[in-house]
Amino acid sequence: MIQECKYKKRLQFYLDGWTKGDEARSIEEHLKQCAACQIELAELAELQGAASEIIDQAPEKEYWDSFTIRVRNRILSRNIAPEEIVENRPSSRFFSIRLAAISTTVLAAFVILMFVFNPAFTPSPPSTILPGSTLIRTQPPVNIDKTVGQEMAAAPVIQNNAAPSLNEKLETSNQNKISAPAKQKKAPRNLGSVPERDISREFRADQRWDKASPRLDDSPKFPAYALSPNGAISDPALRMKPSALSEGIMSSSDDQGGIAAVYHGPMYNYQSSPSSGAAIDLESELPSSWGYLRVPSDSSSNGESKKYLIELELMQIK
Amino acid sequence: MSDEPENRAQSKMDQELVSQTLAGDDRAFEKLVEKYKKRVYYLAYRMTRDHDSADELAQESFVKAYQALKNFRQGYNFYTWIYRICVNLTINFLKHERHSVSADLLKEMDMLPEPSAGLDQLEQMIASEQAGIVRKAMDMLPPEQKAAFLLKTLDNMSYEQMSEVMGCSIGTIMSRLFRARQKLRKALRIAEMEKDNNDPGM
Repeated sequence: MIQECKYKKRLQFYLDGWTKGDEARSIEEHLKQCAACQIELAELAELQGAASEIIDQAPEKEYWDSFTIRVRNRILSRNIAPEEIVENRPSSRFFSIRLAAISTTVLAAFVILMFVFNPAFTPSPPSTILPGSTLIRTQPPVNIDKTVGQEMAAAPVIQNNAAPSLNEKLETSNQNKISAPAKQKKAPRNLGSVPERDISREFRADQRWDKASPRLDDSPKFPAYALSPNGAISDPALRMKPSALSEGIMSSSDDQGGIAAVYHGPMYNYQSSPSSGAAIDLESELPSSWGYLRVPSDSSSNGESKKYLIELELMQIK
Repeated sequence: MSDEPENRAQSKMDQELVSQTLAGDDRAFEKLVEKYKKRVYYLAYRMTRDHDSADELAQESFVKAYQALKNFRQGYNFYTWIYRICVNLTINFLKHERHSVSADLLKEMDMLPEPSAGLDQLEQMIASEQAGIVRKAMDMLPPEQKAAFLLKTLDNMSYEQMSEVMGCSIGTIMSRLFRARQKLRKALRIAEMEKDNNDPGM
């Protein structure tokens, strides 16, 4: 007897003012005779009413008085100026996303070296894509430090490695990482006062980068390869368009460990593996699926990290 | 909302302020902060229910807006733009916070009966019982659904504006809203049932 009314799901759109014209009229007509929909609409309205009665604790007047000054001081203390970081790209995204630690230092370095020095590299046959796969498309490395180029050139051995040994290494390193306990968790409360998460500092590094490097659109494109958590390289044809990102929200955890990044979307899901090594910084100034791969230097250098411009794409879960 | 003449005028004024800031007049940016500080703060506050976090997120939103001001194009609405920055910062913040709490603990918290004691007590007392239930249940929503629900219910944004602010399609907005409402209504129903069970004589 109780049958789900076809109008039921549309009632929220009606309530929200989305439904207009004839459709709205037909819903109104229907409401006159359908008790179930009347209850549904009443419940929706009740929820709306209850939500609007939630009391917000208002800050003191002093808080508001000092707000603008504090914003100004924050800007001044970081020595920020308005900058347009990326041109020639739709700047429709203002995501401030930090996708941290998606792979190990080894993995990241391998990906870059492999693509940069050996663009003709052929990936091994498609393997099973595990949930959590991510695609990394690399651009030529960007010289943040003058040392980067030298270091890249000083690593010819890695470049000659064939896929099997690469996979082996990746698997080993991933296993290590997964078993490793998460390190120091940061207190999540203070975004601005945690140095590692200080967006502005990275922003400044980007500014330097922007002047010295070619624009995104002028950069030669390399094929994208999928890297699944176990390091297997899959078919580049499976990659998603960057626009898929607009259907979801990306989030991040801290850089120190644990689940590093999660992407939620209607069709895609991305979850990075725990790591203490490389991190991807997605800056609001870059198109959403582009970011910097930050690779910490090994202990022999001064602990400065290198930045590479990469395009990150998300894999559809099978 | 953005089609109304008053809003168009506001939007034009904001664009003028952005242009002045870019021309080197930081006072103009201060005017923008003054104008939108409360809305941005309350958005972050309603998402986090925590003053310190909301303060941090609100300030950071304006700092980020200032940094990226050259990306602000003619025709944009500063209001939706700053909201977008704040929503994204807040969603990321909440997810980050979620991950720092173990799944078990989160589940345990989920089971806790409302109302909670502490800072919220006064709030709970003043608000209607239902409002308290909804407020509590909102904490358990995924941040995207929570944001969608708040933007619609408290800011009365259109789907178009919400899709702009949240950077997703209108279909996604609809589905987030639908899910959020389903969950919140369920919480209301459960609370209602519990109340009936607890007061059989009433």
